[in-house]
Amino acid sequence: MGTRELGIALAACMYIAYIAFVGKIVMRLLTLRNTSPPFDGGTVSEITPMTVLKAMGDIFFFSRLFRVNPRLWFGEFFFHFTFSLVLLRHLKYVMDPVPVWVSALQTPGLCAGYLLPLSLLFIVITKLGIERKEYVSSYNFSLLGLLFLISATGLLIKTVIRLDLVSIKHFMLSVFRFAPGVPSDNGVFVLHYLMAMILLACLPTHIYAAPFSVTEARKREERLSLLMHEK
Amino acid sequence: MKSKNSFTQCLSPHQLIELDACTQCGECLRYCPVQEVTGNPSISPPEKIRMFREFIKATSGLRASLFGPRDIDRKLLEDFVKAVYECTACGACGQHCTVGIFTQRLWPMLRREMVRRGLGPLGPQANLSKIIAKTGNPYDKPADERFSPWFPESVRVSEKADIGYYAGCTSAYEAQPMVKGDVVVLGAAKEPFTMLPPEEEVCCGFPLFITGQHDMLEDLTKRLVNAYEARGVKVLICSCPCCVNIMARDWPIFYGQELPFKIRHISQFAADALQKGRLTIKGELNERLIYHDPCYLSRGVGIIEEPRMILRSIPGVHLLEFERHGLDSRCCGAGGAARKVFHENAIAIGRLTIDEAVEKKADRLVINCPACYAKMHEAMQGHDKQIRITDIMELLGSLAGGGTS
Repeated sequence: MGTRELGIALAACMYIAYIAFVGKIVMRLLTLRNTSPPFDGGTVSEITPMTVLKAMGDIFFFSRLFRVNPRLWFGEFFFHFTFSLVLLRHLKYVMDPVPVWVSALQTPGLCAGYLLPLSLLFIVITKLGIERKEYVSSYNFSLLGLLFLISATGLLIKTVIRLDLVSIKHFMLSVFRFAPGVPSDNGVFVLHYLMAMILLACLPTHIYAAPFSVTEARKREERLSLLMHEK
Repeated sequence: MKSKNSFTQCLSPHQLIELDACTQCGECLRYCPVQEVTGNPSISPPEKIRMFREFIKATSGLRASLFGPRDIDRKLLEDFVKAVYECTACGACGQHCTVGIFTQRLWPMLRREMVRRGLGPLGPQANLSKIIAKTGNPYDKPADERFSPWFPESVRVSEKADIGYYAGCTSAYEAQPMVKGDVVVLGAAKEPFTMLPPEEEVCCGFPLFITGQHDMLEDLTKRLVNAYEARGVKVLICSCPCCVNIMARDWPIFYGQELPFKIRHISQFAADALQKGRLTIKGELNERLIYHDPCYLSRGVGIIEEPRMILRSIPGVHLLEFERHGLDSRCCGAGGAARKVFHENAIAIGRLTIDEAVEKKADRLVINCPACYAKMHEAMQGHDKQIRITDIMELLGSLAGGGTS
């Protein structure tokens, strides 16, 4: 076991990561004060239940990406899907008692944990190996690398190191209760935890903005035919 | 309180969120005409967004709020200005954007922010306001040359009518066969129409809008709307997609209320006249035609089917399609007012369309936009591939006659 000081340090990292994550969103909301009134000529329209339904499809199934690049869609969809399952599986470490639905997701989440690094590799191979993209976002590739390391260390913890998960849960609950306990001092666990915090602090802004832009695009596209034509 | 230093002043909340939504996936580069001819990812859509995000972060981010705004790297700012003005603003990137960013609208607003900061527009674009204020058009041509000496004498223009026709500056000064075709078709359909005298038919505002210079837009809009209203116009028809775009999308904003008339593209009028028998086609045309969708007509206002309906109604015509057509069409190179500054790009982009038309063994390339018309003709000069280029109304006007109903 590690020390209480290590526990405090890891807890502090989590609090900082959450502050950075929430702070970014708050700052963006504050920045909205400095914008102009909508100047989206001809695009403002009522949103219908059907538009919402279609937009939900666009958001959850990445249909816009599917239209432009089905191969990359395959990788991205599986990455987001498996990552979500892994995240949901991790809820058991911060919820007490563990809800039935979280328990039910443990096996699918474990399978997703094995597929997650493969989906990341698929994305990298598609972009760099198969499609040989001239434009590569260094930020995106840093995130992909970070996610790969997080998923790889997670798998190591699950399959090779086999840490005491009960003590990890106790530590995680203590962090969420603002009374940090003593964590495992296993290097792989500490690395896994710290990288997850870095990811939280650096989460790309599209996770909250893209659902909005995709919904607006759906509204705009439905409005386009009415711009110059009678209903 | 608003911060004057913020880079978000000219953006709507929606556009600010769009900037955050970009995943930097780079899929849009495959559809960007500027990328096709320059192969320079540093001026690509995701790079422009990345740079602009940096500006926002430096002036409005968490650190800027706590410790004050940072100085922005001059080189980054210059790179951004070049990138945003080299863009043809065709909107193909947005059409294929995996998160649906409306780039056809976003780029002009980013340009507007550069104008606000005194960093744009570039080169000859910077004189547009003065020229339009002086002559009423962006080509620095006298008003009395707007329709003369080439305007067809056989066509009768009414003093007042339900239908108004706006020729547009590019059509009148750079693509006269388009205007001739338009008015011949209007005349052949025996539909009374009115026009403003040349000194009153001023710029619609699009060149100013697209380069981010908004100061005169309200004045220009009100002058034109009031003048057409005074002539009893209920439907204003125009053939220039850029004019139609700003009229349909933005004039109501600058006018401050709903327009007192509808905006329609000439191809809508002609397709309707053909369907209702007010216009008939005399003779046939045994040719393979290929139709180029103007960006601001297809992606801009959704006019895609009507031009095809017109062409298909000409007996003998075999209509071909570009690989990228309709909402996916490729820019002709003339878009975004970039052609005056990045001339080589514009010519190279125009030649991509010409080359494909020739490869598909089309006899004629049919155009539906004065900027495309002028740029394609220019791109053909000195090019090894040649094709006949005709405006759709020029073609229809040569074949059309009045109907019986």
